[in-house]
Amino acid sequence: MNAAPLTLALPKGRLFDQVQDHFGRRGLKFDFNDRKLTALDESGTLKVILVKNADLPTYVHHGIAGLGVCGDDVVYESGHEFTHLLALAFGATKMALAARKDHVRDEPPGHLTIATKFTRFTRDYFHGLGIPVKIIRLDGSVELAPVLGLAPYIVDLVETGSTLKANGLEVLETLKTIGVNLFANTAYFKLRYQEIGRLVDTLKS
Amino acid sequence: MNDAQLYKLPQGTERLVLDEAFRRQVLTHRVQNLFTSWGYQPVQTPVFDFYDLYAPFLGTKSDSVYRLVDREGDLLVLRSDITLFLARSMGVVLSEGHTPLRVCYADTILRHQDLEDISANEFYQIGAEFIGSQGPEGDWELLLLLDEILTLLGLGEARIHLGSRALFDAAFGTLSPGRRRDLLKAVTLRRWSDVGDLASVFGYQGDAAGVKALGSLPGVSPQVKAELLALADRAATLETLGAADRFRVDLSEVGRHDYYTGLVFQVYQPGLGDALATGGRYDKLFSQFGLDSPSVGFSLHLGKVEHLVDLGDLSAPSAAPKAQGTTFADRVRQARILRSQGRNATL
Repeated sequence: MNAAPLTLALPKGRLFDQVQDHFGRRGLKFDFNDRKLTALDESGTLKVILVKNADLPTYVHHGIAGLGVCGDDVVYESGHEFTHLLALAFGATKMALAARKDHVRDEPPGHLTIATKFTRFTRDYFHGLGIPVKIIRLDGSVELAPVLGLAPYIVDLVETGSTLKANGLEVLETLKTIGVNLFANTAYFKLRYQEIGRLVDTLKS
Repeated sequence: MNDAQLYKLPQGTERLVLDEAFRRQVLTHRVQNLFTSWGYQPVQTPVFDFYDLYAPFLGTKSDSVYRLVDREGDLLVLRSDITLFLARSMGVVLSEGHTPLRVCYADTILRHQDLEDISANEFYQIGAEFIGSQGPEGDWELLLLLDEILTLLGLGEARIHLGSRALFDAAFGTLSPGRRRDLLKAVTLRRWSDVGDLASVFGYQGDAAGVKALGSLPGVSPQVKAELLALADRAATLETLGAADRFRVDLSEVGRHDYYTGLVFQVYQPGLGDALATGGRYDKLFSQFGLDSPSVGFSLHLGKVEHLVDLGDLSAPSAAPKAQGTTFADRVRQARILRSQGRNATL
Protein backbone atom coordinates (compact mmCIF):
# COMPACT_ATOMS: atom_id res chain seq x y z
CA MET A 1 0.00 0.00 0.00
CA ASN A 2 2.96 2.32 0.47
CA ALA A 3 4.54 1.96 -2.95
CA ALA A 4 3.10 5.29 -4.12
CA PRO A 5 5.35 8.36 -3.71
CA LEU A 6 4.72 10.72 -0.82
CA THR A 7 2.71 13.78 -1.88
CA LEU A 8 4.06 17.20 -1.00
CA ALA A 9 2.40 20.57 -1.59
CA LEU A 10 4.74 23.51 -2.15
CA PRO A 11 3.76 27.17 -2.35
CA LYS A 12 4.25 29.19 -5.52
CA GLY A 13 6.15 32.37 -4.96
CA ARG A 14 9.01 33.54 -2.77
CA LEU A 15 9.60 30.26 -0.96
CA PHE A 16 9.54 27.90 -3.89
CA ASP A 17 13.09 28.45 -5.17
CA GLN A 18 14.55 28.04 -1.70
CA VAL A 19 12.61 24.82 -1.07
CA GLN A 20 13.58 23.45 -4.48
CA ASP A 21 17.22 24.22 -3.79
CA HIS A 22 17.15 22.79 -0.25
CA PHE A 23 15.52 19.54 -1.41
CA GLY A 24 17.71 19.34 -4.55
CA ARG A 25 20.93 19.50 -2.56
CA ARG A 26 19.73 16.47 -0.58
CA GLY A 27 19.06 14.34 -3.63
CA LEU A 28 15.39 15.24 -4.11
CA LYS A 29 15.46 17.01 -7.46
CA PHE A 30 12.29 18.13 -9.21
CA ASP A 31 11.33 20.60 -11.92
CA PHE A 32 8.07 21.96 -13.20
CA ASN A 33 8.12 21.93 -16.97
CA ASP A 34 5.52 23.04 -19.51
CA ARG A 35 3.54 25.00 -16.92
CA LYS A 36 2.59 21.76 -15.19
CA LEU A 37 1.60 21.99 -11.53
CA THR A 38 2.66 18.49 -10.49
CA ALA A 39 6.07 16.84 -10.76
CA LEU A 40 7.79 13.66 -9.59
CA ASP A 41 11.26 13.93 -8.12
CA GLU A 42 14.06 12.01 -9.85
CA SER A 43 14.21 9.32 -7.16
CA GLY A 44 10.45 8.72 -7.28
CA THR A 45 10.13 9.47 -3.54
CA LEU A 46 8.00 12.57 -3.84
CA LYS A 47 5.11 13.76 -5.93
CA VAL A 48 5.23 17.54 -5.68
CA ILE A 49 2.14 19.70 -6.19
CA LEU A 50 2.46 23.42 -6.71
CA VAL A 51 -0.36 25.47 -5.16
CA LYS A 52 -1.11 29.02 -4.13
CA ASN A 53 0.39 29.80 -0.73
CA ALA A 54 -2.91 30.50 1.03
CA ASP A 55 -4.53 27.35 -0.42
CA LEU A 56 -1.76 25.03 0.72
CA PRO A 57 -3.18 24.20 4.18
CA THR A 58 -6.53 23.33 2.58
CA TYR A 59 -4.91 20.73 0.31
CA VAL A 60 -3.04 19.17 3.22
CA HIS A 61 -6.04 19.34 5.58
CA HIS A 62 -8.11 17.32 3.14
CA GLY A 63 -5.28 14.85 2.57
CA ILE A 64 -4.99 15.69 -1.15
CA ALA A 65 -1.34 16.39 -0.41
CA GLY A 66 -0.02 14.46 2.57
CA LEU A 67 2.82 16.89 3.30
CA GLY A 68 3.27 20.62 2.95
CA VAL A 69 5.85 23.34 3.32
CA CYS A 70 4.85 26.89 4.15
CA GLY A 71 5.16 29.65 6.72
CA ASP A 72 3.57 29.58 10.19
CA ASP A 73 1.50 32.59 9.18
CA VAL A 74 -0.31 30.73 6.42
CA VAL A 75 -1.06 27.71 8.61
CA TYR A 76 -2.29 29.95 11.44
CA GLU A 77 -4.68 31.84 9.16
CA SER A 78 -6.10 28.56 7.84
CA GLY A 79 -7.14 27.49 11.34
CA HIS A 80 -6.05 23.91 10.57
CA GLU A 81 -3.63 21.91 12.68
CA PHE A 82 -0.99 19.57 11.35
CA THR A 83 1.69 17.18 12.52
CA HIS A 84 4.88 19.14 12.83
CA LEU A 85 7.85 17.49 11.11
CA LEU A 86 10.73 19.90 10.63
CA ALA A 87 11.57 23.59 10.94
CA LEU A 88 13.44 24.65 7.79
CA ALA A 89 16.40 26.96 8.08
CA PHE A 90 15.31 29.50 5.51
CA GLY A 91 12.50 31.90 4.71
CA ALA A 92 12.08 33.17 8.27
CA THR A 93 10.42 36.54 8.55
CA LYS A 94 8.63 38.67 11.13
CA MET A 95 5.02 39.60 11.78
CA ALA A 96 5.05 43.23 12.80
CA LEU A 97 2.78 46.08 13.81
CA ALA A 98 3.56 49.20 11.79
CA ALA A 99 2.28 52.75 11.38
CA ARG A 100 3.28 56.03 9.74
CA LYS A 101 6.49 57.47 11.13
CA ASP A 102 4.68 60.64 12.12
CA HIS A 103 1.63 58.85 13.50
CA VAL A 104 0.03 60.06 16.71
CA ARG A 105 -2.26 57.73 18.65
CA ASP A 106 -5.53 59.62 18.41
CA GLU A 107 -8.18 56.88 18.51
CA PRO A 108 -10.21 56.90 21.73
CA PRO A 109 -9.29 54.16 24.27
CA GLY A 110 -10.82 50.79 23.40
CA HIS A 111 -10.41 51.43 19.70
CA LEU A 112 -7.50 50.12 17.70
CA THR A 113 -8.03 49.91 13.96
CA ILE A 114 -5.69 47.64 12.05
CA ALA A 115 -5.61 46.79 8.37
CA THR A 116 -4.16 43.37 7.62
CA LYS A 117 -4.22 40.26 5.52
CA PHE A 118 -3.65 38.23 8.70
CA THR A 119 -7.00 38.73 10.38
CA ARG A 120 -7.01 35.62 12.53
CA PHE A 121 -3.51 36.19 13.86
CA THR A 122 -4.18 39.87 14.53
CA ARG A 123 -7.44 39.23 16.35
CA ASP A 124 -5.98 36.43 18.50
CA TYR A 125 -2.78 38.33 19.25
CA PHE A 126 -4.46 41.50 20.50
CA HIS A 127 -7.32 39.69 22.22
CA GLY A 128 -4.63 37.65 24.00
CA LEU A 129 -3.30 40.94 25.36
CA GLY A 130 -6.79 42.05 26.35
CA ILE A 131 -6.93 44.73 23.66
CA PRO A 132 -10.10 45.00 21.51
CA VAL A 133 -9.32 45.58 17.84
CA LYS A 134 -11.24 46.61 14.78
CA ILE A 135 -9.83 44.74 11.78
CA ILE A 136 -10.05 45.76 8.16
CA ARG A 137 -9.22 42.89 5.89
CA LEU A 138 -7.02 43.60 2.87
CA ASP A 139 -5.49 41.16 0.40
CA GLY A 140 -2.36 43.05 -0.59
CA SER A 141 -0.43 46.34 -0.57
CA VAL A 142 -1.39 46.73 3.06
CA GLU A 143 1.14 49.59 3.42
CA LEU A 144 -1.29 51.83 1.58
CA ALA A 145 -3.84 51.72 4.40
CA PRO A 146 -2.09 54.17 6.79
CA VAL A 147 -0.85 56.29 3.92
CA LEU A 148 -4.33 56.80 2.51
CA GLY A 149 -6.08 56.95 5.87
CA LEU A 150 -7.98 53.64 5.81
CA ALA A 151 -6.48 52.55 9.13
CA PRO A 152 -3.73 54.02 11.31
CA TYR A 153 -2.05 50.64 11.89
CA ILE A 154 -1.17 47.56 9.87
CA VAL A 155 -0.05 44.07 10.78
CA ASP A 156 2.06 42.52 8.05
CA LEU A 157 5.09 40.37 7.30
CA VAL A 158 8.29 42.39 7.29
CA GLU A 159 11.52 41.07 5.81
CA THR A 160 13.88 43.95 5.11
CA GLY A 161 11.50 46.77 5.94
CA SER A 162 12.25 48.55 2.68
CA THR A 163 8.61 48.61 1.51
CA LEU A 164 7.58 50.14 4.80
CA LYS A 165 10.33 52.71 4.57
CA ALA A 166 9.46 53.64 1.01
CA ASN A 167 5.92 54.42 2.16
CA GLY A 168 6.95 56.43 5.20
CA LEU A 169 6.03 53.67 7.68
CA GLU A 170 7.96 52.16 10.56
CA VAL A 171 7.75 49.00 12.68
CA LEU A 172 6.30 49.77 16.11
CA GLU A 173 6.66 46.26 17.41
CA THR A 174 7.63 42.79 16.23
CA LEU A 175 4.76 40.51 17.20
CA LYS A 176 6.09 37.10 16.19
CA THR A 177 8.93 35.43 14.32
CA ILE A 178 7.50 33.43 11.44
CA GLY A 179 9.33 30.25 10.44
CA VAL A 180 8.95 27.90 7.51
CA ASN A 181 8.01 24.32 8.38
CA LEU A 182 7.53 20.93 6.82
CA PHE A 183 4.32 19.42 8.20
CA ALA A 184 1.96 16.56 7.53
CA ASN A 185 -1.73 15.83 7.53
CA THR A 186 -2.04 13.95 10.82
CA ALA A 187 -3.86 10.93 9.39
CA TYR A 188 -1.40 10.71 6.49
CA PHE A 189 1.53 10.77 8.88
CA LYS A 190 0.02 7.95 10.90
CA LEU A 191 -0.18 5.66 7.89
CA ARG A 192 3.21 6.48 6.37
CA TYR A 193 5.32 7.50 9.31
CA GLN A 194 8.28 5.30 8.38
CA GLU A 195 8.73 6.78 4.90
CA ILE A 196 8.06 10.27 6.24
CA GLY A 197 10.63 9.69 8.98
CA ARG A 198 13.22 8.79 6.34
CA LEU A 199 12.36 11.90 4.33
CA VAL A 200 12.74 14.10 7.42
CA ASP A 201 16.14 12.51 8.16
CA THR A 202 17.24 13.24 4.60
CA LEU A 203 16.11 16.85 4.84
CA LYS A 204 17.81 17.35 8.20
CA SER A 205 21.21 16.28 6.86
CA MET B 1 -39.91 32.02 -1.37
CA ASN B 2 -36.38 32.89 -0.33
CA ASP B 3 -34.19 31.41 -3.09
CA ALA B 4 -30.99 32.03 -1.16
CA GLN B 5 -32.24 29.75 1.62
CA LEU B 6 -33.70 27.19 -0.75
CA TYR B 7 -30.33 26.27 -2.23
CA LYS B 8 -28.31 26.48 0.94
CA LEU B 9 -27.91 23.89 3.68
CA PRO B 10 -27.56 25.16 7.24
CA GLN B 11 -24.03 24.46 8.50
CA GLY B 12 -23.86 21.21 10.39
CA THR B 13 -26.46 19.29 8.43
CA GLU B 14 -26.28 16.94 5.49
CA ARG B 15 -28.61 15.70 2.82
CA LEU B 16 -28.44 12.24 1.27
CA VAL B 17 -30.70 11.29 -1.58
CA LEU B 18 -31.48 8.24 -3.72
CA ASP B 19 -28.48 5.96 -4.26
CA GLU B 20 -26.41 7.66 -1.56
CA ALA B 21 -29.18 7.14 1.00
CA PHE B 22 -29.64 3.54 -0.15
CA ARG B 23 -25.93 2.87 0.26
CA ARG B 24 -26.00 4.24 3.81
CA GLN B 25 -29.02 2.14 4.67
CA VAL B 26 -27.43 -1.06 3.36
CA LEU B 27 -24.11 -0.47 5.14
CA THR B 28 -25.83 0.47 8.40
CA HIS B 29 -27.89 -2.70 8.19
CA ARG B 30 -24.82 -4.84 7.60
CA VAL B 31 -22.96 -3.35 10.55
CA GLN B 32 -26.03 -3.63 12.75
CA ASN B 33 -26.32 -7.32 11.90
CA LEU B 34 -22.73 -7.73 13.01
CA PHE B 35 -23.48 -5.89 16.28
CA THR B 36 -26.41 -8.22 16.86
CA SER B 37 -24.25 -11.29 16.29
CA TRP B 38 -21.85 -9.99 18.95
CA GLY B 39 -24.71 -9.50 21.42
CA TYR B 40 -24.96 -5.68 21.19
CA GLN B 41 -28.41 -4.18 21.73
CA PRO B 42 -29.53 -1.03 19.93
CA VAL B 43 -30.16 2.22 21.80
CA GLN B 44 -31.50 5.55 20.62
CA THR B 45 -30.56 8.78 22.30
CA PRO B 46 -32.64 11.99 22.35
CA VAL B 47 -31.97 14.62 19.71
CA PHE B 48 -31.63 17.35 22.33
CA ASP B 49 -31.10 17.56 26.06
CA PHE B 50 -30.32 20.10 28.77
CA TYR B 51 -27.11 21.94 27.94
CA ASP B 52 -25.88 22.30 31.52
CA LEU B 53 -25.57 18.53 31.93
CA TYR B 54 -23.01 18.38 29.14
CA ALA B 55 -21.23 21.69 29.50
CA PRO B 56 -18.44 20.27 31.74
CA PHE B 57 -17.53 17.68 29.10
CA LEU B 58 -17.60 19.79 25.96
CA GLY B 59 -14.34 21.70 26.50
CA THR B 60 -13.33 23.61 23.39
CA LYS B 61 -16.05 21.76 21.46
CA SER B 62 -18.66 23.95 23.15
CA ASP B 63 -18.02 26.44 20.32
CA SER B 64 -19.44 24.06 17.76
CA VAL B 65 -22.62 22.80 19.45
CA TYR B 66 -26.07 24.13 18.62
CA ARG B 67 -27.98 25.53 21.56
CA LEU B 68 -31.62 26.53 21.82
CA VAL B 69 -34.10 27.59 24.48
CA ASP B 70 -37.21 25.54 25.16
CA ARG B 71 -40.64 26.87 26.10
CA GLU B 72 -39.84 26.76 29.81
CA GLY B 73 -36.72 28.83 29.25
CA ASP B 74 -34.24 25.97 29.75
CA LEU B 75 -31.12 25.96 27.62
CA LEU B 76 -30.91 22.88 25.40
CA VAL B 77 -28.14 21.40 23.29
CA LEU B 78 -28.60 19.40 20.12
CA ARG B 79 -26.93 15.96 20.15
CA SER B 80 -23.30 16.64 19.30
CA ASP B 81 -21.61 13.57 20.80
CA ILE B 82 -23.45 10.28 21.03
CA THR B 83 -21.22 8.86 23.78
CA LEU B 84 -22.15 11.74 26.08
CA PHE B 85 -25.86 11.53 25.30
CA LEU B 86 -25.75 7.78 25.77
CA ALA B 87 -23.97 8.03 29.11
CA ARG B 88 -26.60 10.44 30.36
CA SER B 89 -29.55 8.36 29.04
CA MET B 90 -28.24 5.03 30.28
CA GLY B 91 -26.68 6.41 33.47
CA VAL B 92 -30.07 7.54 34.72
CA VAL B 93 -31.98 4.43 33.67
CA LEU B 94 -29.57 1.66 34.60
CA SER B 95 -28.35 0.45 37.94
CA GLU B 96 -25.32 -1.70 38.65
CA GLY B 97 -27.44 -4.86 38.41
CA HIS B 98 -27.94 -4.20 34.69
CA THR B 99 -24.27 -4.26 33.78
CA PRO B 100 -22.29 -5.50 31.98
CA LEU B 101 -24.33 -4.33 29.04
CA ARG B 102 -23.42 -4.18 25.38
CA VAL B 103 -25.11 -1.44 23.34
CA CYS B 104 -24.81 -0.08 19.82
CA TYR B 105 -26.18 2.87 17.86
CA ALA B 106 -26.42 4.41 14.42
CA ASP B 107 -27.42 8.05 14.58
CA THR B 108 -26.75 11.54 13.37
CA ILE B 109 -25.06 14.25 15.35
CA LEU B 110 -25.48 17.97 14.80
CA ARG B 111 -22.73 20.46 15.25
CA HIS B 112 -21.38 23.45 13.45
CA GLN B 113 -18.61 22.98 10.94
CA ASP B 114 -16.83 25.68 9.03
CA LEU B 115 -17.88 26.13 5.45
CA GLU B 116 -14.62 24.62 4.18
CA ASP B 117 -15.00 21.66 6.49
CA ILE B 118 -18.32 20.32 5.31
CA SER B 119 -16.57 17.43 3.60
CA ALA B 120 -15.50 16.14 7.02
CA ASN B 121 -18.51 13.80 6.95
CA GLU B 122 -18.83 13.45 10.67
CA PHE B 123 -22.57 13.76 11.01
CA TYR B 124 -23.50 10.09 10.88
CA GLN B 125 -21.96 7.85 13.47
CA ILE B 126 -22.26 4.16 14.05
CA GLY B 127 -20.78 2.78 17.22
CA ALA B 128 -20.77 0.43 20.17
CA GLU B 129 -20.20 0.67 23.90
CA PHE B 130 -19.52 -1.99 26.46
CA ILE B 131 -20.92 -0.57 29.71
CA GLY B 132 -19.60 -2.13 32.90
CA SER B 133 -16.61 -3.66 31.19
CA GLN B 134 -13.63 -4.01 33.48
CA GLY B 135 -10.10 -4.99 32.66
CA PRO B 136 -8.44 -5.80 29.38
CA GLU B 137 -11.08 -8.18 28.04
CA GLY B 138 -13.53 -5.32 27.42
CA ASP B 139 -10.84 -3.38 25.53
CA TRP B 140 -10.00 -6.42 23.46
CA GLU B 141 -13.66 -7.16 22.71
CA LEU B 142 -14.40 -3.65 21.43
CA LEU B 143 -11.26 -3.52 19.33
CA LEU B 144 -11.81 -6.94 17.80
CA LEU B 145 -15.40 -5.90 17.02
CA LEU B 146 -14.09 -2.75 15.34
CA ASP B 147 -11.52 -4.83 13.44
CA GLU B 148 -14.33 -7.06 12.19
CA ILE B 149 -16.41 -4.07 11.06
CA LEU B 150 -13.46 -2.76 9.05
CA THR B 151 -13.08 -6.18 7.45
CA LEU B 152 -16.84 -6.31 6.75
CA LEU B 153 -16.61 -2.94 5.00
CA GLY B 154 -13.67 -4.22 2.93
CA LEU B 155 -11.23 -1.74 4.48
CA GLY B 156 -8.21 -4.04 4.57
CA GLU B 157 -5.78 -1.13 4.56
CA ALA B 158 -7.33 0.62 7.56
CA ARG B 159 -5.04 0.69 10.60
CA ILE B 160 -6.08 0.95 14.25
CA HIS B 161 -3.61 3.06 16.22
CA LEU B 162 -3.51 2.29 19.94
CA GLY B 163 -2.44 4.81 22.54
CA SER B 164 -3.28 5.58 26.14
CA ARG B 165 -4.74 8.54 27.99
CA ALA B 166 -3.71 6.80 31.23
CA LEU B 167 -0.10 6.97 30.06
CA PHE B 168 -0.44 10.71 29.45
CA ASP B 169 -2.06 11.17 32.87
CA ALA B 170 0.69 9.13 34.56
CA ALA B 171 3.29 11.39 32.97
CA PHE B 172 1.60 14.79 33.27
CA GLY B 173 -1.38 14.33 35.63
CA THR B 174 -0.01 16.67 38.28
CA LEU B 175 0.33 19.69 35.98
CA SER B 176 -2.19 22.52 35.79
CA PRO B 177 -5.20 22.04 33.46
CA GLY B 178 -3.87 24.70 31.07
CA ARG B 179 -0.44 23.11 30.82
CA ARG B 180 -2.00 19.68 30.33
CA ARG B 181 -4.13 21.02 27.49
CA ASP B 182 -1.04 22.47 25.80
CA LEU B 183 0.83 19.20 26.22
CA LEU B 184 -2.04 17.13 24.84
CA LYS B 185 -1.92 19.24 21.72
CA ALA B 186 1.88 19.10 21.53
CA VAL B 187 1.86 15.29 21.77
CA THR B 188 -0.97 14.93 19.23
CA LEU B 189 0.76 17.22 16.73
CA ARG B 190 4.21 15.83 17.55
CA ARG B 191 5.72 19.16 18.59
CA TRP B 192 8.40 17.40 20.59
CA SER B 193 10.35 20.46 21.65
CA ASP B 194 7.35 21.32 23.87
CA VAL B 195 7.12 17.87 25.44
CA GLY B 196 10.52 17.54 27.10
CA ASP B 197 12.18 14.36 28.35
CA LEU B 198 9.34 12.02 27.49
CA ALA B 199 9.29 12.98 23.79
CA SER B 200 10.95 9.69 22.85
CA VAL B 201 8.21 7.77 24.68
CA PHE B 202 5.23 9.64 23.18
CA GLY B 203 6.85 9.68 19.74
CA TYR B 204 6.93 5.90 19.61
CA GLN B 205 5.11 4.05 16.85
CA GLY B 206 5.52 0.33 16.44
CA ASP B 207 4.45 -2.90 18.08
CA ALA B 208 3.81 -4.40 21.51
CA ALA B 209 7.39 -5.60 21.99
CA GLY B 210 8.76 -2.14 21.23
CA VAL B 211 6.47 -0.37 23.69
CA LYS B 212 7.46 -2.80 26.43
CA ALA B 213 11.12 -1.93 25.85
CA LEU B 214 10.37 1.78 26.37
CA GLY B 215 9.74 1.02 30.05
CA SER B 216 13.46 0.71 30.67
CA LEU B 217 14.39 4.10 29.20
CA PRO B 218 16.04 6.51 31.67
CA GLY B 219 13.66 9.09 33.12
CA VAL B 220 10.61 6.81 32.91
CA SER B 221 8.78 6.84 36.26
CA PRO B 222 7.28 3.64 37.76
CA GLN B 223 3.77 4.96 36.99
CA VAL B 224 4.62 5.61 33.35
CA LYS B 225 6.32 2.24 33.11
CA ALA B 226 3.20 0.50 34.51
CA GLU B 227 1.03 2.16 31.83
CA LEU B 228 3.50 1.23 29.09
CA LEU B 229 3.37 -2.40 30.21
CA ALA B 230 -0.44 -2.32 30.38
CA LEU B 231 -0.60 -1.01 26.82
CA ALA B 232 1.99 -3.54 25.62
CA ASP B 233 -0.20 -6.27 27.10
CA ARG B 234 -3.31 -4.94 25.30
CA ALA B 235 -1.46 -4.65 22.00
CA ALA B 236 0.22 -8.08 22.17
CA THR B 237 -3.13 -9.88 22.38
CA LEU B 238 -4.63 -7.79 19.57
CA GLU B 239 -1.66 -8.48 17.32
CA THR B 240 -2.40 -12.20 17.76
CA LEU B 241 -6.19 -12.12 17.45
CA GLY B 242 -6.90 -9.28 15.00
CA ALA B 243 -6.58 -9.05 11.22
CA ALA B 244 -2.98 -9.06 9.95
CA ASP B 245 -1.19 -5.73 10.49
CA ARG B 246 -4.40 -4.09 11.68
CA PHE B 247 -3.08 -2.85 15.02
CA ARG B 248 -0.21 -0.47 15.73
CA VAL B 249 0.96 1.08 18.94
CA ASP B 250 1.16 4.87 18.54
CA LEU B 251 1.82 6.74 21.78
CA SER B 252 1.00 10.12 20.25
CA GLU B 253 -2.63 8.94 20.44
CA VAL B 254 -3.90 10.41 23.69
CA GLY B 255 -7.63 10.68 22.93
CA ARG B 256 -9.65 13.58 21.59
CA HIS B 257 -11.93 13.83 24.62
CA ASP B 258 -11.06 14.55 28.22
CA TYR B 259 -13.44 11.85 29.42
CA TYR B 260 -11.05 9.09 28.33
CA THR B 261 -9.22 7.40 31.17
CA GLY B 262 -7.35 4.45 29.67
CA LEU B 263 -6.72 2.87 26.29
CA VAL B 264 -7.57 5.13 23.34
CA PHE B 265 -7.55 4.43 19.62
CA GLN B 266 -8.13 5.95 16.22
CA VAL B 267 -8.56 4.34 12.81
CA TYR B 268 -6.82 5.66 9.70
CA GLN B 269 -7.54 4.75 6.11
CA PRO B 270 -5.40 5.72 3.09
CA GLY B 271 -6.97 8.60 1.18
CA LEU B 272 -8.86 10.03 4.17
CA GLY B 273 -7.62 13.29 5.68
CA ASP B 274 -8.82 12.45 9.19
CA ALA B 275 -9.51 9.47 11.46
CA LEU B 276 -12.35 7.26 10.35
CA ALA B 277 -13.21 5.98 13.83
CA THR B 278 -12.25 6.95 17.36
CA GLY B 279 -12.73 5.39 20.74
CA GLY B 280 -11.36 4.43 24.09
CA ARG B 281 -12.02 3.62 27.72
CA TYR B 282 -13.90 6.07 29.92
CA ASP B 283 -14.25 4.66 33.39
CA LYS B 284 -15.56 7.80 35.09
CA LEU B 285 -18.05 9.19 32.57
CA PHE B 286 -21.13 7.19 33.56
CA SER B 287 -20.61 7.99 37.22
CA GLN B 288 -21.22 11.66 36.36
CA PHE B 289 -24.74 10.60 35.37
CA GLY B 290 -25.49 8.29 38.29
CA LEU B 291 -24.06 4.91 37.27
CA ASP B 292 -20.63 4.02 38.59
CA SER B 293 -19.57 1.84 35.71
CA PRO B 294 -16.31 1.55 33.76
CA SER B 295 -16.93 1.50 30.02
CA VAL B 296 -15.26 1.35 26.66
CA GLY B 297 -16.62 2.31 23.26
CA PHE B 298 -16.02 3.61 19.77
CA SER B 299 -17.80 5.49 17.03
CA LEU B 300 -17.20 5.24 13.33
CA HIS B 301 -17.94 8.00 10.81
CA LEU B 302 -19.61 5.88 8.19
CA GLY B 303 -20.01 8.84 5.83
CA LYS B 304 -16.27 9.04 5.37
CA VAL B 305 -16.01 5.58 3.83
CA GLU B 306 -19.36 4.88 2.20
CA HIS B 307 -17.93 5.75 -1.19
CA LEU B 308 -15.07 3.25 -0.73
CA VAL B 309 -17.24 0.25 0.02
CA ASP B 310 -18.12 -2.25 -2.66
CA LEU B 311 -21.75 -3.30 -2.21
CA GLY B 312 -21.18 -6.46 -4.25
CA ASP B 313 -23.95 -7.70 -6.55
CA LEU B 314 -26.69 -5.97 -4.60
CA SER B 315 -28.97 -4.15 -7.04
CA ALA B 316 -30.01 -0.66 -6.12
CA PRO B 317 -33.74 0.17 -6.25
CA SER B 318 -32.96 2.83 -8.85
CA ALA B 319 -32.06 0.01 -11.26
CA ALA B 320 -35.28 -1.95 -10.68
CA PRO B 321 -36.85 -2.82 -14.06
CA LYS B 322 -40.52 -2.36 -14.82
CA ALA B 323 -42.52 -5.61 -14.65
CA GLN B 324 -43.81 -6.84 -18.01
CA GLY B 325 -47.51 -7.15 -18.75
CA THR B 326 -50.26 -5.50 -20.76
CA THR B 327 -52.49 -4.62 -17.83
CA PHE B 328 -51.70 -3.32 -14.37
CA ALA B 329 -52.89 -6.62 -12.85
CA ASP B 330 -50.48 -8.55 -15.15
CA ARG B 331 -47.61 -6.39 -14.02
CA VAL B 332 -48.50 -6.92 -10.33
CA ARG B 333 -48.42 -10.71 -10.88
CA GLN B 334 -45.15 -10.57 -12.83
CA ALA B 335 -43.55 -8.30 -10.20
CA ARG B 336 -44.58 -10.69 -7.42
CA ILE B 337 -42.81 -13.52 -9.27
CA LEU B 338 -39.65 -11.45 -9.74
CA ARG B 339 -39.60 -10.34 -6.10
CA SER B 340 -40.10 -13.91 -4.88
CA GLN B 341 -36.90 -14.71 -6.80
CA GLY B 342 -35.10 -12.00 -4.88
CA ARG B 343 -35.16 -9.48 -7.75
CA ASN B 344 -36.44 -5.91 -7.78
CA ALA B 345 -39.34 -4.71 -9.92
CA THR B 346 -41.50 -1.62 -10.27
CA LEU B 347 -45.05 -1.58 -11.43
